[in-house]
Amino acid sequence: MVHETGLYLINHFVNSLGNSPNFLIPNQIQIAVILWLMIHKILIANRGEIAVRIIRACREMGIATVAMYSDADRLAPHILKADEAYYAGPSPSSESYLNISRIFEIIQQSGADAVHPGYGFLSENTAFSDEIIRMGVTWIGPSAESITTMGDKMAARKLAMEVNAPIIPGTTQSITDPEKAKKLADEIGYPVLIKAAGGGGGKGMRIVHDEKEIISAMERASSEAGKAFSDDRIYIEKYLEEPHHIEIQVFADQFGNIVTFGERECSVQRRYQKIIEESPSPFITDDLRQQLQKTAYDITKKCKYLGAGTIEFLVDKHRKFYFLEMNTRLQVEHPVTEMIYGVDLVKEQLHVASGKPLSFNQNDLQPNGHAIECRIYAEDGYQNFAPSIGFIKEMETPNGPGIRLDEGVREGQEISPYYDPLLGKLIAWGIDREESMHRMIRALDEFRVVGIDTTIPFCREFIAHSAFRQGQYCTHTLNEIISDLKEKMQISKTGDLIAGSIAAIIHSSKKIVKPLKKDQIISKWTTAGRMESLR
Amino acid sequence: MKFKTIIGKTESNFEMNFHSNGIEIFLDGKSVNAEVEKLSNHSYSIIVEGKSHIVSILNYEDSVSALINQKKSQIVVKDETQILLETYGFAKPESNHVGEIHAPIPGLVTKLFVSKDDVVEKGQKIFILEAMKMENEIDSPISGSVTKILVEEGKAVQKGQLILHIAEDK
Repeated sequence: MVHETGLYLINHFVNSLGNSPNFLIPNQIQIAVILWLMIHKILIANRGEIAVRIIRACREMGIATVAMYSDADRLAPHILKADEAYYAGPSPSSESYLNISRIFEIIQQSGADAVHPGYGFLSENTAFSDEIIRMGVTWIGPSAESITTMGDKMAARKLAMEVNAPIIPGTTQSITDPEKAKKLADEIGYPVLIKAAGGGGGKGMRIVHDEKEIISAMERASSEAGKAFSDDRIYIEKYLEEPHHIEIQVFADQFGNIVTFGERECSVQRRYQKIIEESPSPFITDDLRQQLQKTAYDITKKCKYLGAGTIEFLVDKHRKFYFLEMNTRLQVEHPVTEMIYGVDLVKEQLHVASGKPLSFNQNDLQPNGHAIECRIYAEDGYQNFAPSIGFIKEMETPNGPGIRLDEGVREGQEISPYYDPLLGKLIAWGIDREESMHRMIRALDEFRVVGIDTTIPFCREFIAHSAFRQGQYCTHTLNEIISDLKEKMQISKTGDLIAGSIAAIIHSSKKIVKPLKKDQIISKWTTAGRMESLR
Repeated sequence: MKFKTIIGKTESNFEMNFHSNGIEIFLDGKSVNAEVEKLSNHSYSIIVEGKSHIVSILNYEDSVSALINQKKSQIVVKDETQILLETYGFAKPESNHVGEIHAPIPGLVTKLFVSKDDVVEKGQKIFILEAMKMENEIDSPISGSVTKILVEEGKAVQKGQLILHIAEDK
């Protein structure tokens, strides 16, 4: 299998030189090329659930893993699960997970021949990826050129326009002059959105309802963008009616093969950040899906993309769609696509990065069933998703049919304020949307975390809410129904009240519930005797 | 032993007798069929009238915060002494904390819009608290004047830490 791929590559290489296809390459060279292309050891320049996710794929492929840790992460799961672990620096990410010179040292010390950046941190840093490639190490991600073009929202808009992808009315240039901004906003029509040119995730984003708010909103957005992305450029665009956040997963190899997957619906957001995703979307029609996939294909082709990427769209209530941006990396919510297409996108990334052609073509990609993902954040759903820090004193994770947990924390771990508060992702697959929802609620009920606040209670009530159940929600829905949800998150059943009271009384009065019964101390012979009688 | 619990607006009077083989529980004078087992350091399995519940104690200070079947609740527990004190009117009056502005989340105070003795209006921006790379504008809950500022710009604060005092206009 490996040998065949190697031959394919060598032939491709030879053909590209314009030699005769009959040109023969000695066996030893063939084997040498195959060994040279193979990835043996990967440095994972990340932490948390995505580092664990990548380690899992590597282990299944027999590739050694190198993890890195900050002071706060010495006992984090990615360090416990990796084959090798190296100290990166103090807890703040700027001194550890973003410490490029230290990462280069770790590559050299460990002898890693490839780097997977995960998402966030250095995944879209071209200075980093360029240097990795210069070192002769495989970069598991797209080319610096694609990252630069698609990472800059204005350049991305321009490219999208070149392939006739619809874009949201707004500026194509960054804007600093408030007077110009006011004029533009008048032309586009309020409300307008102020957004950061250099990033996403809701950072540096403000909705402006009228002229009075525009100056202060521009200042805040620009300052926030400067801090988050070291780029304080902002731009203005139209604010859409009841928008849905829809994205298309794409994958491309070095041989010009591109595939696109069915959409992920990511409209459940707090602070413009996703919290629940599903695939397929209950809002998207077959016809619209085809158009979205076609547009995603065109953009991917135009930016000469390599590896896993995501094209994000906004779709308004009239089902008009607009290109939003491209994420040139693996997405947090990639598992919902994996669950319904039966593929492993991380393995495919490694496969493509080592120079092999895609292991599936467009016709192979047939969706099966439905998948929902809930992001479990260390945030308090009762208090506007305020971050929660502390020790995970107890954690009991869900299991059973159709359930997948991509976790990045373990029981006993301290959740520090230094990093993204994502603890893990819970994914429920079902034969249809109905089954997937019931599974998700069942799994959330089983998921018990004590010590910090999590989004588990919020996700449980959101999935159970009629807006989600009926598939009628957009990016505004969370804010509209949050007070409804908060009410449902309160206990109301008499049994719950009594149980809660009893536990509270016993715990606070420090009463020992029950002495250990004598017959619980059973000799091994008694156990053996009981086993006999069971035969 | 007698206890009173308050959850939201619901007050319940419990009597619990701890025996070597279990607990006898009465709610408002009526016997409750409840089986209590400690599940772990912070959690209990409680079967009430045949229904199975898991209750995890999140923390307890003035009141107990508990997760009951994925719903979080604040439970005020009063023991016999406290009930007695209240009956005779010795309970501490609740002080008025409305002018104390605390950090709602842990983070960094990146900007203070007010100085000592400034007059502020309700809803006016008073400082920016940056947490998880998001800038959060904190508004004044009341109109009044700033009497004390306890932090400087650029300082990291814990959740609940006192940031400043505002004396309310009466």
